[in-house]
Amino acid sequence: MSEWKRFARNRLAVTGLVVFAALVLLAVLAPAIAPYDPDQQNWQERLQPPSRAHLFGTDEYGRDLFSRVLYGGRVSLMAGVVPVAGGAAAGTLLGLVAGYLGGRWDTWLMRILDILLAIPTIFLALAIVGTLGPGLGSAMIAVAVVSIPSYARMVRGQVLSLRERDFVTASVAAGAGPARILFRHLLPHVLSPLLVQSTLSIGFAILTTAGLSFMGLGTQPPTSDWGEMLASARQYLPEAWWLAVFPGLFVMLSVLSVNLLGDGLRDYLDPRTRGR
Amino acid sequence: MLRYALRRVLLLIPVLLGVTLVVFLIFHLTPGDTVRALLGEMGQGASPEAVAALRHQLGLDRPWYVQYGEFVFRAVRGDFGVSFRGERPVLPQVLERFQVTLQVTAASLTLAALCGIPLGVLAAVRRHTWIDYLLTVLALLGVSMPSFWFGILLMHLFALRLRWLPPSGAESWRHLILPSVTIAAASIAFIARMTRSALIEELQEDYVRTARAKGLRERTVIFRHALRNAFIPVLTTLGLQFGSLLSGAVIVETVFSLPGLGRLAAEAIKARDLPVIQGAVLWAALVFGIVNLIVDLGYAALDPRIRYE
Repeated sequence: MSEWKRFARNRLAVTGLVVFAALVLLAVLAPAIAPYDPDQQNWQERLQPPSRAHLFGTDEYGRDLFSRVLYGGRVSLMAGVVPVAGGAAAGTLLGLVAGYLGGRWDTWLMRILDILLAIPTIFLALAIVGTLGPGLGSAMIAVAVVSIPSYARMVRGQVLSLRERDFVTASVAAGAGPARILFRHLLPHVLSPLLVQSTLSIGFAILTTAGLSFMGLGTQPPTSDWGEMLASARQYLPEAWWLAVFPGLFVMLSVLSVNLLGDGLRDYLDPRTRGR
Repeated sequence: MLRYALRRVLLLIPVLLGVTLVVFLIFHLTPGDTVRALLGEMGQGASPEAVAALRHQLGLDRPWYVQYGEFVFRAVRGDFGVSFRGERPVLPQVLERFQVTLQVTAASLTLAALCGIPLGVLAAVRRHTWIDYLLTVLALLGVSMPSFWFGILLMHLFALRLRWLPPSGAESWRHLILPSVTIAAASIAFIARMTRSALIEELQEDYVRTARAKGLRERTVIFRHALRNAFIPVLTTLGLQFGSLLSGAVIVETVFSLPGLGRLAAEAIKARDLPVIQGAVLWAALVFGIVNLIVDLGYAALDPRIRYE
C-alpha cells in the first residue's frame, strides 16, 4: 500500500488537510477572490446583513465582511504558522543540546524550562507582550516563546533514548563532531514527533494570537485579523450578528482542521499503530 | 504524609524565586524605554533632564541585580511596588481584580467537574453508543472553538436576545453565569474524556471482576470500586484544567467586561505600566504553583503508594 493511501484511510485527517489547505488558499489568493477592497468604506452600506452583494454582510464602516475575513485570514493563519516554526526551531535546538551534552547543561536548561512552565501560559504571553508592547509581532513572539519548553522536553527525551544507540557510538568512533551527530544523525529521528507536535500547536497558536488580538494586544488597526474583528463586532450586537459569527467560524474551522490533521499524522507516524 | 507535604512546599520556593527572576529579567530587557513612554503620556516634554530624574525616582538607574534583590525582598513582604500610573500600590489592585477572576475560574471548574465527571462515567459505561460518540465530537469542537467567540455567541443569545442574564459587569452572581459557562464548556468535554478513559481502564482490572463475581450490584462496582481508583488521573486533570480555565478567564473577561486580572493586565500593557503587569504575572504564577501543590497533595492522599516512594 502506498504511503499516501495509508494516510488517506483516515478520513478525518484528509478532511482536515483539505479544509486547512482551502483556508490557506483563500487567504493567499485573497486579492484575486475578494469581491471588494477590504478597507474600502461605504457609508451608504453600513451594517448590512448578508446578501448576494455582500456574502457575509458589511461592518460598521460599510466594509465588505467577506473580503475582510479573507484578508484577515492572511494575518491569522500566518500568526498560527510563524510562531510554531520559531518555537519548534528554538525548542528543538535546546532539546538536542540538553539531551546530547547532558550533565550540567542539561540540568540548567531543564530547570529554566521548568520555571517557564510554572507561569500560566497566558500570563507568560502577557508578560512578553507587555515588555515588547502590543502588536502582531509581539503576540507572535510571545506564542513562540511559551511553546519552547514543550518542544525542548520532547526532543530531549527522544535524544536521551537515542544517545546510547550503536549508530551514535559508530559515528563518534568515525570521528564525527557533535554538530554532525546532532543534525545529521539525531535530528532525523525526532522529525516525526516534531511534525505531529508542530501541527497540533498551529491550532493553539491561532487561538492564542486571535485571543491576544481580541484583547487589543495583538494586531492593531487598521490591520485586522479574525480576533480583532470579533472584538469590534462585540459593540454591534445584537443587531449585527454576522459580524460576530463569520470571523469566529473561520477561527474554529482552521483550528479544527489543523487538529484533525495533527491527530491523523500522529496515528500515521506512530510506529505502534503502523500497519494496522 | 506531613514530611511529603513539607518537602513539596520547600520545593516550591526555588521555582517561585526562578519565576521572579524570569519575570524581572523579561521586564528589564525591555527595548522600549518605559520612562520616555511614561513622560509622553503625562504630556510633559521628554527632556533628557526629566528622563534622568524620573529614572532615578523610579530606581531604574541602578544595576539590575540591585533592583532584583530589592524587588524580591519587597515582594516577600507583600510589597509588589507602585503602579506607574496613579501611584497606587500594585498588590491591592492585583488582589481586588484577582477576586473576580478567581470567582469565575472556581465557578467554571465546579461546573466543569459536576458535568464532566458524570458524563465521562456515562460514556464509559455506555461505550460505543451515541452518547460516547457525541462526547468525542464535543471534545473536539471544545478544543477548537475560541472561548471568546463562544462567549460572544452566548451573550448574544441569552443576554441580548432573550434578556435572561446581564450581558456584562460583575455586580452579582448572575453576572458570573455566562462567563463561567463560556469558560467551562471546553473543559466539560475534556474532563469527560479523561474520566471515560480512566474508568474504562479500571473496569478491565481483576478487582472489578472479583467484585462482580461476589455479586455486588453494578452500581456499587462502578462507584465504590472502579471510580475511586479512576479518580486519581481525573483529579490530575482537574488540577491541570485549573491553569487553562484561569487562562480562559483572562481572555473571556474582555467579552463580558469583567474587571478581572486579565483586564487589569491588558490595561496595564496598553499603558506600559510595568509594575502592574509584573505583579499580575507573579501573582498568577504563585496561585498556579499553590494549586499544583494542592493537586499533588490530593494525589498523595488518594494513592497511598505515592507517600512511601
